[in-house]
Amino acid sequence: MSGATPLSRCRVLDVSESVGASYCARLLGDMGADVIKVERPALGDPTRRRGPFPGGVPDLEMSGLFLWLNLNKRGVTLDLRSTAGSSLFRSLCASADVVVTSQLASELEVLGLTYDELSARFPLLVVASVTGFGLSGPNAEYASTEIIAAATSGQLFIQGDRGQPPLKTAGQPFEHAAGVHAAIGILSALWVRDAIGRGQLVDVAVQESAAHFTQMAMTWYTHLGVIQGRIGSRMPFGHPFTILPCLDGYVAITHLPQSTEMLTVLTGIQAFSSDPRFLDPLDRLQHANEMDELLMQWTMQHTKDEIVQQGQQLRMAFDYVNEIPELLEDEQLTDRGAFEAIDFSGGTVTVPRPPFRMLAVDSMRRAPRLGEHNWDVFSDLAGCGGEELFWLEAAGVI
Amino acid sequence: MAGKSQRLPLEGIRVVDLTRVWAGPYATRILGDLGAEVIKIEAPFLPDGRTGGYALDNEPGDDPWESSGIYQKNNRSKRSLTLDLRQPEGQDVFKKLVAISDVVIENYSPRVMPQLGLDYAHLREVNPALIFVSLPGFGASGPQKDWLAYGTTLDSHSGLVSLTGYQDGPPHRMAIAIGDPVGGMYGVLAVMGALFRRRAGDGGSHLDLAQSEALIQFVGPFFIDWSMNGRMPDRAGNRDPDYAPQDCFPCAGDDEWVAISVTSDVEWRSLCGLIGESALALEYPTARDRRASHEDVVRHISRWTSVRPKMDVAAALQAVGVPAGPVNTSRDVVFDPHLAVRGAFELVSHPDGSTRPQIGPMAHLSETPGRVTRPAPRFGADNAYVLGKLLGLDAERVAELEALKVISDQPLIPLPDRQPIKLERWLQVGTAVRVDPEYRELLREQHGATIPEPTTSSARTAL
Repeated sequence: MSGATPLSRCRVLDVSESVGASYCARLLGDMGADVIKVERPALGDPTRRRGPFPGGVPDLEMSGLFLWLNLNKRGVTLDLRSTAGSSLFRSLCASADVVVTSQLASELEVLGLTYDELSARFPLLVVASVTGFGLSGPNAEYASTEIIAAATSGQLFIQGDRGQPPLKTAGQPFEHAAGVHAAIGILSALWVRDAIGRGQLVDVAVQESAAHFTQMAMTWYTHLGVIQGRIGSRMPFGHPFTILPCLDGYVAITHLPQSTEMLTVLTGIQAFSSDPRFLDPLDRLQHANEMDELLMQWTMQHTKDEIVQQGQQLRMAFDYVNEIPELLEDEQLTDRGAFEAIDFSGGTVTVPRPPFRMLAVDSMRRAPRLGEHNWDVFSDLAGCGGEELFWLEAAGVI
Repeated sequence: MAGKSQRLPLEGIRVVDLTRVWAGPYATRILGDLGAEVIKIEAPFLPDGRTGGYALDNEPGDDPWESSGIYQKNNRSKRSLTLDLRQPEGQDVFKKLVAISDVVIENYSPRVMPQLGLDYAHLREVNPALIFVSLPGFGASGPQKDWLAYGTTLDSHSGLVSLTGYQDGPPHRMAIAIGDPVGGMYGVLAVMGALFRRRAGDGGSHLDLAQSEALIQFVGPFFIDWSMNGRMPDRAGNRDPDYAPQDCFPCAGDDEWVAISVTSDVEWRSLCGLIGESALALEYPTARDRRASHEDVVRHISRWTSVRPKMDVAAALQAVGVPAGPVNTSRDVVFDPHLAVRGAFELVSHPDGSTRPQIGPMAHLSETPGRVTRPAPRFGADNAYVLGKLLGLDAERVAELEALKVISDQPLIPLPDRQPIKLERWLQVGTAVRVDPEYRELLREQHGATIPEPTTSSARTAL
């Protein structure tokens, strides 16, 4: 689709150092904003130290995580703790619409980046914060990572096998979710900025973002007093709604209706329409082991392609348990152009394009090298001359 | 609150909401919390999930389609209009409403709207500035466009399930179908982006956003690992490739846990000092050492955690700078003192007049904070408002529409007889680990919820 990107007139300063906040700023870059990542001189954003790396060898310029979180951004280095750095940052703020942070309230205080301080000088600025527990409340200063947010949101407790420890979801899903929530908050603040004549603070806690996802478990408590437990790969509402092995991998077997006669049509196994243990969804959940044994007699004779295609033909929501290389070859995703190859210092990598492609930049820009755009940014936006920049670099400010 | 504007950020934006179940309704709920006027449309013969799940206090009541807890949480901050889009009179009303709206959002299979003649090409004629967002499972084009998807199957499709699991175990499903809310939240981004583009003078647009393509964003770094190294990481339980140790550790009590995530050697030394195991700090100085001897590290830490309450363990670790958190049950979250101070919960009323806390908007905005603007609407509750006030139809015309069954204030299909949930069965299969008999009292005390005494005692007699 043609048309300008929605945020082509918007400038974002991203001083954040976490997955959620960096991803938030990246989403704005995906929509065409000029996002400037501000990193510590020499050290850079700590996510540069996290993998994946080519060959598993750490290198500040080759982190796959940093690449993913900082696509569509320019990059500068700036020591915000120094007087000169702090004053340079304020010159950048004068032309910015948004500042994105991930630091705890006490760190923002030290850096002079609290909302009160910034908004006093730049009242139109939207300042976003993404932290584990938010900027207020007794736990605001607590350190957090993905698993801590999953734990405190109530999500971790309900995921895993009965009698086994709670089980975390792979990757950083709730950090990413908080990033999306924060981006929505920023867009809302920008949308209403002219009408109220000022910017505002957008405060997102990863714990709360995750709790949004876990709200059903919470309503079970507030509506019924029920505390949800772990039941493995099964679903509380009934069975079969699970993951099963097949001839060449795993499949998601999903069948919601009251009766499972359609499973007899699919598998030829009579018990699914006649066995009294399988009459209603809760009975089936109680006898899920027996049911799975029967289902596996069928799934273990078929490939995942056969199972998923046959299920979908009968209007049952069966699906693959895809691995990454299978997704890259998935005919639906490739047909729709869901991926893009990006060249960077670590080689060429293929990543998913933003799902809102019609609103996104035509092609994605690789993440910046440390301080890559210092000269462009500081001379264009802060009016620094060559000599001044040379001095700042020598002093370790940039 | 003092100093805060009563204004909501999306005030003045009207959204026509055809979505069902969770992904789309989560998107429009966010828009509603932000102040958009969301008009949820249900066909008189096809209520949206109103009879699913469980009833408030396990009492389905006289109008059981008004008591679903799932429906109530997914559809707050919206108005309800019933409308049969298959009848020409229903289509006429729909087009009139679209003409005065900013956004239409739907998550049907891609066949449905064209079959009704209500796809973007037709609706653009009545409103050239319209933003039309489709949120199908797999997108409106491509060989799998008509495949059925649920949030859970999207989790499997996206790669998340194959990457998640206990060490040496099979792939593990997400306990919550995250494919749904993830699709919904990217849907909101799409709506907002399109609003900005329209404001810049670019007119309306149709956005086809596949939920499957939304969820693969969450495994982005794994695609990069594959490109770089041709590898899928092994399923590793709660461990992390960078942070070690990271796991759930048992605490005092039954099924009580604390999550600990050590992100640096400094934190590791603090942890060892706290638990009185200084030798351990020397034995495994680096993350690589600790990863290699995970079992031994876990054994030492568990010895200390397993005799202490999870809240105390987490607080003690945080006090020395180590990332830790109690593995909260839903009950712990509802009564989390930190969330209470942050004002993370709002009391939302229900058709029976009682109130319950719900988690509020997804971000705290300082000047124009969103809020739950209204409880989930009763079926067709806003028919009069939409048809009369917004569209200017007279009472006679509204009565005609009702006679034609184009609108209705109750479902026009036989609904299954709604029984209370048999909570003893939930306990038996493990879906519930406990049923708290005091939950009403606690919600009154801690949240100030208004909860009348139950008319029956089904919840407790079921036990």
